[in-house]
Parts: sequence; C-alpha cells; structure tokens
Amino acid sequence: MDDYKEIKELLKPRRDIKASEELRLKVNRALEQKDRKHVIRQWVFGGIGLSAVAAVLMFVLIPSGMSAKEILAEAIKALESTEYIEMTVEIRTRPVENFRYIDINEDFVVHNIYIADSDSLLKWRIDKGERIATSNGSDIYTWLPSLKLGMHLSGVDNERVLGYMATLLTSKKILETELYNCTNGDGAEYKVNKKGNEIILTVHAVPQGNFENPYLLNSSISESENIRRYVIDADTKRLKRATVSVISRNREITVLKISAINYGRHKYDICRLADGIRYVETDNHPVGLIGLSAEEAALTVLNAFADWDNSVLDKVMMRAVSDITYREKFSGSRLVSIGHSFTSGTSNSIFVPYTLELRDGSIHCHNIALQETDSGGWIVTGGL
Amino acid sequence: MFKKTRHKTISRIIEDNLDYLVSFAYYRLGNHDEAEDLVYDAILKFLERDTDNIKLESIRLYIFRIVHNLCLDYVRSDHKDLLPIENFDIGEGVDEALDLEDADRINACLDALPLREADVIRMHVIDGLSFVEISGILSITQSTAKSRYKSGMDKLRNLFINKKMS
Repeated sequence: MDDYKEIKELLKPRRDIKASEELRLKVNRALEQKDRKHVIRQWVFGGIGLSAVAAVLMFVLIPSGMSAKEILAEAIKALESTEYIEMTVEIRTRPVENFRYIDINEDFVVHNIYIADSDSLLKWRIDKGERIATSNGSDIYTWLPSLKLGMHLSGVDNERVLGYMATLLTSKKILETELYNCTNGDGAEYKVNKKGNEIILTVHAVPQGNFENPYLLNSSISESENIRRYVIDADTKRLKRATVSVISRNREITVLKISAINYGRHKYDICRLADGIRYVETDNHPVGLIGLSAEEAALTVLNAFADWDNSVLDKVMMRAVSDITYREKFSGSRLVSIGHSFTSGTSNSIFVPYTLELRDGSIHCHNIALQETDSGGWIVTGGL
Repeated sequence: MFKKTRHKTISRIIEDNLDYLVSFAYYRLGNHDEAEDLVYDAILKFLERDTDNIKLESIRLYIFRIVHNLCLDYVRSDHKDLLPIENFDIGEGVDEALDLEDADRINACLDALPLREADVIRMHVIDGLSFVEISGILSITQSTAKSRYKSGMDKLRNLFINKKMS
C-alpha cells in the first residue's frame, strides 16, 4: 500500500486544525449539564437532515378562501422530534418484487416498516416477507431470504430503492415532499380539509414519465395517475393514516394503505442483517457490452443462456446474481425471437421484448431491461 | 457510582477528541466556524441519546459517525462547496486564509473522485483513521473500505502521473 507514498504526501494536511477555546468551554458546559431536559441550540443549516425547500410545515385552521398552496406555505412549526416509528403498510404488489413495484390486479401484501430517526441519521427497515431492506442512514442492504442473496448499495438515495415508500419514512418528509411538488408545479393538485381533530391532505397527481409505450404505466405510484390522501392529527401534527389510489380506466383502485402507525421508543436493532445471506457489493458493476445497439446486446445476452457463457454474462450481470437467480431457470434455453427496443415511464432502462424456449420446452416471454454504463456498455437490470 | 464513572470517561473521550472532530469537519466544510458549530451540535445530539448500551470503546467512533453524517447532510443540502480562496477576505486573519488554502488544495485533489472513494481516502490519509475505524463509522466491511481506498488512490496516482507527463 505504500505505492501511494507520493499521493499521501500530496494529500497530507500542512495545517493543524484545532478546536477553539470557545468550543471547549461550550462543550464542557454541555457535559456538565448532561441531565438537562431542554437543549437550546443554534442549528446553522436550517433543519435536521431536511432539504432546502422547507424545514418543517404546520397546518393551521383553514380559513375560507385560501388556496391549498397558500395554506401549505403559510406557517412553519417544528414537529416534535420522533425517534421511532413502527408502521404497517399494505400494498398491491407481489411479495418478491422490488419495493417500487405495484400491480392493481394483485392482492395486498403487508409491509412492516420500522424507522429510527435520530442523530440526523434515518435508519429504517422494510420487511415484505420475501424481500427485506434496511438502511443505517448511508448504506442500504436488501435481500431475498429464499435465495439467500442480497445487495449492498452505498451512496444511493432511499427513493431509488423504495420509490414512493421513501416518502413514508418520516412524516416530515411526506409534507415536505408534497409541498415541494406543489411549489414546483409537477401537475399535481392539492386540497386541504379539516374534519374534527384531523387534517386531510389530498393530492391528485398525473403519471410521471413518457408513456408512448405504456409498459410501465401503473407499475409504480409515480408512474400512475394517483390520489394520495393523508390524515394528520391536528394537535400533534403526526401522520395517522394514508392511502394511495391509482386511477385506471376511470376506476379508483386503492394500492397502498397505512393500516397502523405507532410512535414510540426504539425497541431493537432495525439495521440487523440476516445471517446466511450472500451480500453482493454493487460498487463494482460489470463493464457491459460495448459497441452494440440495445437489440444486439439483448441478442448476445439471451443467446449466451444456451451454454451459460460466463464470458458474456459476467459483462452484464454480477456472477452471484446470474448464478443464484437465473442459471437454474435459463441455462440451456433457446432464443426464439427478439423485438424492437422501447422506453417507458421514468426508467433509465431500455427494454427489448424477447421469447425464449426454456430447457423444459415451455415458452417464456418478457422484456429484458438494459441500461448503459458511463462507459457506454449495456448491462442487464431486469426483465428476466 | 458506576454511571458517574462512565460519564466521566465519556467526557474525557469527547475532550480528547475535540481537535480531531473539528479537523474532520473542517476538511469537509471548509469553514472553521461551521465546523465547530457542527461538532458542537453532534456532541449535543450524542448527549441527548440513551447511550448506556454503547460500549465505551465504541463511543469515539459513534461520535465520529454523527459528525460524518451531519457533514453529509450539510453538503447535500446544497449549501456550498468550499469557499474558493480568491473570494476569501484576507482581513479575517492570515491563519484562517492559510487553513482554507490547505483545505482547498486537498479538496481540489479529491474532487475528481467519486464521493465514497474520496470519503475513505479523507478518513485514512487526512483524519488518520484505520480501516477498522473507517468501517465502523461508515458501517461497511473492512474489505469495502480498503477496496474504495485502493480504487481512489489508483485514480489519483494516474491523474498525478498524467499531470507530470503533460
């Protein structure tokens, strides 16, 4: 490792940064008063782990004649810091699918969500039975217990992994996100009502993305015309309930409902990883197939299934994923046909329709999902 | 009595590491006052928590982790990159100007790297943390920490060689 001697010398600080006397005095005072109940502090950044759009929101009694925008933007009050939230969310999806995925034709799948919001770290755990994910605030681990296979993602936003569910992780985030959408005019309409001791926020949003090809329409909440309803306790300003419905063929279908929320003390280690799982590091993604069109790349990958040609497959998928998830099913299959590539929704993927004859003679039709790496290589991201 | 001893030990750990924590924050924020504010806030957050279940030998890394994540929040909240040295009012003090120039110099090297590689290199080379400590702060495996370090240092070495040759 001392190959890097020159670089280390270059990076070595030449100044000695020290704490000021003023800071030492403040810290000593704080240490002496550790038992005090109220801590008043100056937060220079304007919020605790919140975006620049709005630190916190407060709902006020609704005077007549005010628009929802005016009401949402009018007043600010810090919500009580909540350390631990336990939530039960039911979503129309499949237990093994990724967390963004919804399907209006499926039954509800129970998701148990555990959140610990402390020290500006947002830790969470979501368990939908056949897929589990957890984050310690910087890294996300997700795994499929049945396959004993998981992934470690670092530096990835919660939203990329969880889709809409990322907004449920803190009640502050829900209000902030909706306000952000409101002020940025993404085509959503907002309405606020007060009923007894409850404030009801309703958001009606249009599908995000390009649906010239409707393949991904209604496959996630953001890629659907949806109505999001939030019920908030007027006194504590805490989220009590929420539902999301998808509008499909003039019907409103509930796809998500929060059936229980409990605010309480931290009970157990929610970032605990399961034993016996092989966690694949996603830092080192494959190089991809370079110099090909999407269709050519799809052709190359799908043809490689016949002999399970790892010299090809290792370029497009991580070995652990291909071996554990796909080999058993696709090894020995024969490519029958591929179609023209297309895009859909907000996904960065390009999809290529294909038909495979599997080893047992059955036919498998789907759309392989490919993405281009920074160096222009195609990798497989789904659709198998 | 045991609690009192524990509290005394924790106080000593915090006082002994205050310079390191401020330096850690400074090289990420580029502003001494904000670095001190951030460290103070991190310590207050730590003191508010129920930390009885944290081993004494883990307290130091726990606080580093809080500071690290607050620095990430600060950078992500679009606040600012380092103040370029040419915008700095030299009237504020020569020492502060030299500190900032040094931070600027270091960050200019690391800006070319992906954040997660730069982060590990900062912690190992600038903050003097071991890979064991880095893995504890970032909640990653040691091998991941070493792999990011090697990857980042290889890139820096190539950049440095290319610069020399051009």
